[in-house]
Amino acid sequence: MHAYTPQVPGTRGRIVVGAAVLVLLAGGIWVSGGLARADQVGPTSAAPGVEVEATPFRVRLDSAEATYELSDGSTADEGLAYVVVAGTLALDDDESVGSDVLGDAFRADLSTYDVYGEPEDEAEPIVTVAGDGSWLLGIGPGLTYDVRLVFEVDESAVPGQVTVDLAAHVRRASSLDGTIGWHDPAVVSRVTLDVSPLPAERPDGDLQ
Amino acid sequence: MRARWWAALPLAVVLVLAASGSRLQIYWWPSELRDETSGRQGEPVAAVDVWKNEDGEHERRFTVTLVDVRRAVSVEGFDGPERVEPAAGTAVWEVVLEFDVDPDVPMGLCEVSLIDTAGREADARGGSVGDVFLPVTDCEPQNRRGPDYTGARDEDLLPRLPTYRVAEYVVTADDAEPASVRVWWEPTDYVEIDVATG
Amino acid sequence: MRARRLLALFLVAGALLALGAALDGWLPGDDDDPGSEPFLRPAAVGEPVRLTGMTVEVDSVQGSTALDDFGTELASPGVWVLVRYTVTPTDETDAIGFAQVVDDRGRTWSQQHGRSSNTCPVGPPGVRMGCVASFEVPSDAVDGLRIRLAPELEQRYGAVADVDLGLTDDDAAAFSGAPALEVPETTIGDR
Repeated sequence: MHAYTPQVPGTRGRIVVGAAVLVLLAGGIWVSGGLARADQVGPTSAAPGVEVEATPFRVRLDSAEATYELSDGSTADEGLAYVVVAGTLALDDDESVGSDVLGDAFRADLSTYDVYGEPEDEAEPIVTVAGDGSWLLGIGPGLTYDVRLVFEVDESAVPGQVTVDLAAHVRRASSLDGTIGWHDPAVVSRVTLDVSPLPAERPDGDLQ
Repeated sequence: MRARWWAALPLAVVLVLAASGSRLQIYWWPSELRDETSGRQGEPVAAVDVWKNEDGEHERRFTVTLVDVRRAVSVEGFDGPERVEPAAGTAVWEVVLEFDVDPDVPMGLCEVSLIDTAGREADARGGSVGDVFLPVTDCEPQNRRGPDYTGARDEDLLPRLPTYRVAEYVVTADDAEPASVRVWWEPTDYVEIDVATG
Repeated sequence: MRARRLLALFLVAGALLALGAALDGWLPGDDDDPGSEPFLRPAAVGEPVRLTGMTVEVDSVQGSTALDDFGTELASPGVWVLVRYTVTPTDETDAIGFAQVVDDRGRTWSQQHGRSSNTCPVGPPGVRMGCVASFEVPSDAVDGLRIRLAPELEQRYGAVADVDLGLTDDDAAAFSGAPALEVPETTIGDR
């Protein structure tokens, strides 16, 4: 019969246990993806004219103006006007993205209306191509566009400055169906621009 | 007795596999048209069609007769009848259906298709043939309507009659020989009526 | 004795962790999408390709730096590539719902992204439907550009036509001097 005698592990036992714990720790760290620096807290400020990485986009915002008329010829309804931010936009990835991802990359500190004329909770611009004013519903790789970000606002609420937040997305599987896409937009940069004031008069456009 | 430490091994392996997150994905195939009520041209076919809204399940009881399937000659346009001229390689069919149904039963948003002798199925979809617009598929007359699926009815329009005829238009390949007409709203119920031969 | 048993236990635990890490790389993870690889059917312009429920054939390809969009000229920082193709559904009313171009670096430009588009109305079985897709791509994508066409936007489980548009760098250069592309109407039936 073998009596059970509790034993305190000797020195050799301690070394073994210590080594095994280290193995476990190392294995645990390896499995969970390694050590990484914690993400920086809070967005940075970028000056106008500076290119910013807002993954997956590269954005440069240059200037802003208030206007009644867009480059595609459309004019703001009575009581309304546009704040238009000029800049450049490119995609830093190999797969084209849609308007949902592009739309989530920009927010502004404005009270805006959507395309149906309804007040928006969040000021999301219509991204247009400079020159013809055509809408850019997403963007493909290898193309750098001169863009105009269009926000529709109350004529009486045109500000002297506008701050545009640029958000970066994360590439991961959708929790709904597992497809890979860009998710979780988070503001990484803020650009404040002076807004050139509205012209004294509305252009003579078509009356409704 | 000493516990055999390695007896936990199989369980541990299973736990490791589970923890590694192998993805089991179950895909549900969309429900298809499975429940057929069949009939023949010229004979009234009694059918029950189940539809659902937030209030639950409802039944639509009706009788439908396939009156005729013929080449469409003209459709009613804005300024009167317009001649239908099918594009080369196509044919345009007019499918006449007669419904017998309580005027309070919603009949909107039905689907109609024409199945040919080769088993090909062409949907009635409206659209344009040359400059002529084919009327959209509708299982109740334009000017006399029953309720919609919320129970509301357009009071500017006259109520539907208990018995009425509608015409549906289907574009097919020019070598299609009509074999049957299918009518449905949502899966899984549908009515299929054989076209009379000869 | 006890220390040796403990050692054995910890070593087995460590080995299992290592096994878990190895399996983690082997089994589908959060970033993989094993079911999504489409089945590609390569073809050339003018060659019919059988897909699920339809046959598709690319008819022609044109390019320019500008696209005429209802009277407005859309100038591109790259080039516009306009592809005309024919779809003949087999058994049911159907259309091509997915269109995308791919370059030899594997970059993709999909319909409805940016200003690219695909217009392909549904057609009945046995009828030739003439469809049109236009894509904006950088000039360096033109050489070896391919178009991928499939019935569904969600094309995980079916065949996808993978058509070499037969374009070279010479074509890319020619596109720079070409007049603005006019987008043709879609057609139904034989032309």
